[in-house]
Amino acid sequence: MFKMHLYKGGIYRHDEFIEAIEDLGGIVMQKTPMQTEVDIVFAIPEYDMDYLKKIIKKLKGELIDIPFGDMEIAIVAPSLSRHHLPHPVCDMSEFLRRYGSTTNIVGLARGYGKTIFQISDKEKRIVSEHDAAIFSFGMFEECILLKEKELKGLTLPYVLCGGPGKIENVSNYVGNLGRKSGRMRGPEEIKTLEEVKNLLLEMVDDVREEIGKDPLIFPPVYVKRAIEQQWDLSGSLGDNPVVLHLDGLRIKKPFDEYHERISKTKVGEYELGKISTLKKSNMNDTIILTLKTKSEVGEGP
Amino acid sequence: MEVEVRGGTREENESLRKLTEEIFKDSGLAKKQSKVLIVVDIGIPAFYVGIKFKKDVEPIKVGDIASIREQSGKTKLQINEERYYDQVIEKLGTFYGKENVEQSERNIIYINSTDENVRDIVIYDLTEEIRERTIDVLWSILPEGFKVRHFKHFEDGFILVSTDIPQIREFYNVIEDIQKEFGGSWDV
Repeated sequence: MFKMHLYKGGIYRHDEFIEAIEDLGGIVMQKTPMQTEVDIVFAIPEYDMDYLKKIIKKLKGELIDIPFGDMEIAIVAPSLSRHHLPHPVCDMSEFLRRYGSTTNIVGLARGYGKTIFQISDKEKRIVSEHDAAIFSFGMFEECILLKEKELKGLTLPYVLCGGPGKIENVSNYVGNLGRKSGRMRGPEEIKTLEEVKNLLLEMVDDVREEIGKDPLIFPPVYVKRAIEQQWDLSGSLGDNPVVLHLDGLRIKKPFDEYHERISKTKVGEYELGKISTLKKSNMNDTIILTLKTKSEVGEGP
Repeated sequence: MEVEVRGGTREENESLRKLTEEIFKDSGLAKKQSKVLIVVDIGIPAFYVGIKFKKDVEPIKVGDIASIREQSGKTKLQINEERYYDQVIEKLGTFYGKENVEQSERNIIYINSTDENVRDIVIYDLTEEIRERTIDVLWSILPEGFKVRHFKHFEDGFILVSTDIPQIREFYNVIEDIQKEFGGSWDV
């Protein structure tokens, strides 16, 4: 399985590093030169890392793991008001982006209050489009427990955050993340954010393991590269027109105009439409592509 | 400023107390309150807030910012605080009529009559401004969905109940308890 990493090093001889990645069957996702430095985000099968580490040592570069590099994570706030934004919701979002994640902040229409709280079906579908979610639910245990019941239908891994340090019988809960009036930058607060990251990582590892049992027909990074090479996606929303998911991609292009084109993309010996399902996103007019597994296509695990 | 939170667990009270203190400090209002009491009843759910302003938060009167003396049947005011020039002229104009108020120099005003009560005219009611700003700050402290709100004001503070259900008798009982604790004259 491909894993995402970030290389930080000097611009001098960095092309040697890029060549090594390509020789090993890896994929360079993004290259950002900054004067004499360069940041390279790349994906590579885990078993080839030892060889690559030797090259990195030779070039005196730095290798950083970005475990959420192939994920899109939803950070769900009860609303988009000053009560919940920018702290702690944006702090969490910013923290996860350091580990490579693409994050979307989702504000519920009526996620606040106790008796009036609700999460609509559409909101659940929007959140489910992501690979994982983090819910930020205020500072009172009783309210958090009520809100937690409403999330039972969700199948994606999610972490609940709130004010109380611990809540009994809620295993996916991280405390000390209630309402904040300032940025979370103290050592204790960073530790709490680390806790969220580690819990999410644990849950996502289970999902990866599950995917590994019946692997996807192609790794999403490989499909991403094929799409970007075959179609001009410039002028898309944001600077990253194709966002990686654990089981596919989000392509930030209008569904009606592009889905036929995208489904004709050649990936290996297949046409993409035959090895994936494409649907319109519930969040905005983008394309959600879910890759089929090897067994679904008929190649067997 | 003393902030006290009751009703939740020790941890919940402490985090709400910290949040309240921080928001008041950020808004610059922390030095204007002597006590902030928040009573949480998460079962109903309802939040009761009692605010008591500090004693120095009092209305500014003409006598506080000007030297006043009589001069040949007129009253001469020498205003010592530049930021209140506009308000003084406006207020005096309202009280004595614009034709009876004359500004001879930048900081000197004559009134065409003698009136001992001129020094008691309120130029700027800081209490009202503090009251308004405090209420505004409270909206970012109290939970967002709690939009059913009921106030009881008194001279140097107020009590507020905020909830997301229709009002019930219980609210008034708690308000009365807080009132007893705070003291003060009511419905100003």
